[in-house]
Amino acid sequence: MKKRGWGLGCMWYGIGNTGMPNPSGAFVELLDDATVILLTGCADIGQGSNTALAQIVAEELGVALEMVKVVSADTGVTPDAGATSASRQTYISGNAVRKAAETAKKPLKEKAAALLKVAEEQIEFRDYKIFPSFDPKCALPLKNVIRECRRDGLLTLGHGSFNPDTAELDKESGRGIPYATYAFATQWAEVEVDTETGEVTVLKIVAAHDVGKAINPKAVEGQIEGGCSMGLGYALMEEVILEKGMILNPGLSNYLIPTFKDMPEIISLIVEEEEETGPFGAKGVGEPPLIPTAPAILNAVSNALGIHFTELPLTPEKILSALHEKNNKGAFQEGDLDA
Amino acid sequence: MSKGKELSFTLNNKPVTVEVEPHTILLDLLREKLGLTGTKRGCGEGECGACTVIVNNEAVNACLYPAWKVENCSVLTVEGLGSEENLHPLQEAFLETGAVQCGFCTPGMLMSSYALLQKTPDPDDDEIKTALAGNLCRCTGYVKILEAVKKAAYKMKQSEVNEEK
Amino acid sequence: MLEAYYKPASLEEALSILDDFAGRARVIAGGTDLVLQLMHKEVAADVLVDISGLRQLRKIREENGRIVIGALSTHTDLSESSLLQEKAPLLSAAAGSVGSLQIRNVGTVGGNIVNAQPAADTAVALLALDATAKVVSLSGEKQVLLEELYSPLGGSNLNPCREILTEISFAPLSKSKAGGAFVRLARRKAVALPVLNVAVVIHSEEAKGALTDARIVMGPVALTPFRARKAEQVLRGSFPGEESFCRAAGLAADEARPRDSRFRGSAAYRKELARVMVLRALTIAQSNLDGQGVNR
Ligand SMILES: Cc1cc2nc3c(=O)[nH]c(=O)nc-3n(C[C@H](O)[C@H](O)[C@H](O)COP(=O)(O)OP(=O)(O)OC[C@H]3O[C@@H](n4cnc5c(N)ncnc54)[C@H](O)[C@@H]3O)c2cc1C
Ligand code: FES
Ligand code: FES
Repeated sequence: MKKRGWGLGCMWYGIGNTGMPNPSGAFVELLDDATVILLTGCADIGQGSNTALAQIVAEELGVALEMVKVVSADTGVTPDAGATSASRQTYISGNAVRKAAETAKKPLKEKAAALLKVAEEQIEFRDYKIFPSFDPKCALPLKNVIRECRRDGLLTLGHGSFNPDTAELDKESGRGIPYATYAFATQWAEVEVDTETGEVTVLKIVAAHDVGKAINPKAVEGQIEGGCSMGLGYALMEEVILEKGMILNPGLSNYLIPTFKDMPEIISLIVEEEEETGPFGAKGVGEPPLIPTAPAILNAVSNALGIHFTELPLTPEKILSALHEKNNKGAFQEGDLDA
Repeated sequence: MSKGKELSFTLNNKPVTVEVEPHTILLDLLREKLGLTGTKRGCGEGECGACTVIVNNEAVNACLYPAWKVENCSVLTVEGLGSEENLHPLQEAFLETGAVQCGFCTPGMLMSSYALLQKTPDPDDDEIKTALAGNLCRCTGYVKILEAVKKAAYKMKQSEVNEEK
Repeated sequence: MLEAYYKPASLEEALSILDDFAGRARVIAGGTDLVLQLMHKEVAADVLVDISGLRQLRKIREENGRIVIGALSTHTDLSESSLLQEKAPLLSAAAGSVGSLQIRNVGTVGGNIVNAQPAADTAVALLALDATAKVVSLSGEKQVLLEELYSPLGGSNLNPCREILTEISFAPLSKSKAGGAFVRLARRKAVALPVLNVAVVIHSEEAKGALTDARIVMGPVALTPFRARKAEQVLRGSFPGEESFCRAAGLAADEARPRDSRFRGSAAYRKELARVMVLRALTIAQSNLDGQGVNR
């Protein structure tokens, strides 16, 4: 028989390294033709940080994304940005590149304020123009102001760095400020369980993630969807099998990860609860998506069968074994292993 | 002693002749000898599809494919799909939908998708999943790849309609 | 390291190359098993004789009332064959369940048989269909029951350094007189070897009448694909239905000798699976026989 069930998983997760400094630095230079060079140590391993960081810089300087040339993760030339881990790069390196861009535009701001005869705080940068926020019509072209700066022998370049506000944890009590900010998420899963074989089919996942501000919504969805597939694998099939310290399944033929056919429809819901200390309100989303998936799936199986499961991966055998126990048929026992 | 022999085949629509030893696997011939590193080695055991290329219109795993099998065959790799200046609709669609993250699975995904669309120009979700089940992706959860293949199918149909006009 | 790679243009040439190297040369078809076995040094060969160019060995036809499949037909050929979909749907389903599309495009039914894995999907289905194999060598041609190609200790009796499997044939499942089914469970939904697969074929002379024959094959529960003979025996002569099918499924599970595996699960679990899946397969086969099912 097939039984359906529905389950929720919720999580909160600290962004950045736990209770320790983990700064990131960046350099930004704005060239004569409004091309921007961004140097960041941040390694883009596919999550899209090169794009997101460039977007932050472009937004700060009021130029198009295509103008920002990113040089990243080259230890020969880029400043340290820390590891691409801990869901930290958008938040921490995002702040660093934004500050670097702010510093790079400082001379432009001063120059424009003088030319427009307004206070520096009232100056805005948008669409290659610099203007007083109260009167966008009297705007100066960005390139003209850059030229004015050059005439004075001023370069438009800056560096920036950011270190999240944390405090070391007390060794006794564990108290302190482990993270400057947190991501929150809830996922919902619908499953179908075959009560005679123990096979689970995940039919749908809905994943709602508070990311502060989605700098690049498509990339955020990509992180959510990918995290759900890792979470589904974690829930149902992924396991490093050890024997006397040796891994018995070191390859993709035995360590199974979800295929195209294992993945259900995923509906990503991006929640934007602005983080005051984040770049344009952003936090992180790298790891959070894979955290609540397994709980949601296991809760859905529990909901379908009325049995609570606490062990991962939840294989068909574990499910059938628990069903047999529930029906007083006895769980499966192992004899000699022939793996 | 194993001795190499001259092997001739069509590679990305151009004839090639190259000396190949009896034990050479197609993946090594492409990557090491011919310098076409677009085709990736993921697992080297037929499990991941990163090495997928097309031989005579069918997707195969180059990591399990003796190079001598391609004698007089037509082989298509990702390098033959499109160029940076002139992307194939599949490549465009992958970019536009965000179907590429780390990119390691992408050449294989593109080739499997290409083989599918040649055979089934208007595939449904199930047909896409079946055709791409042998291509593992650790990053995307496959959602945007599914979207990309559908978008590419649409683009390819549109461009056919336009050509007919 | 290989000395040579031959691509003979005819069967005769292939056999004579094998003969020339007297045991040092081996047949390769798709290579989806052999290439890895050579790499991992599980199989030794100095010379490979690639027979995949022998077009006449790639066919799926009905000849003289039997379905004849060339050994070089790929799993894709089998799963897409409308002839098989109509007259032996369990075989096209089994072929369609193998690995990935890339593997199915290259792997052949002949290789699946000669590689002799206990759960080789198409071999399990072909054994349920009571198939016959044609084996050719320099000393001539012989027809043997597919079952006889398996050594009781596991592995194939066919010697790929001397003999070539050219074709497999079986009687089509005649409408309303025979029904078959193939069911399979794996650790994920694609590209995974079976935790258990089951193929069954049942025969009956008249609608709802007693079963005249039954074959139940499964794997991997023994060193070779396993025929549940006791279960088959109780079905012969009994009327199809829940009662007889449950009994047969129970017997099949008793007969099966799976071993505990860190990857596939405990023997106890897979015995229970055998019961469930044989029952399911029989039920599907019966509805196919009755002409109601989706026939697979
Ligand atoms: C990733 C992956 C997934 C797989 N999944 C499955 C699966 O789900 N189910 C399954 O059943 N199999 C699976 N396989 C195994 C394999 O693909 C099949 O067994 C395939 O049918 C083998 O055929 P081949 O033509 O590639 O054989 P080859 O590798 O060419 O040959 C296999 C053996 O048979 C011999 N041989 C081949 N043809 C002949 C012939 N005509 N006459 C004499 N000897 C011959 C060879 O000498 C060799 O010993 C998988 C393999 C891989 C790599
Ligand atoms: S490298 Fe060929 S399938 Fe993984
Ligand atoms: S994009 Fe990274 S594996 Fe697919």
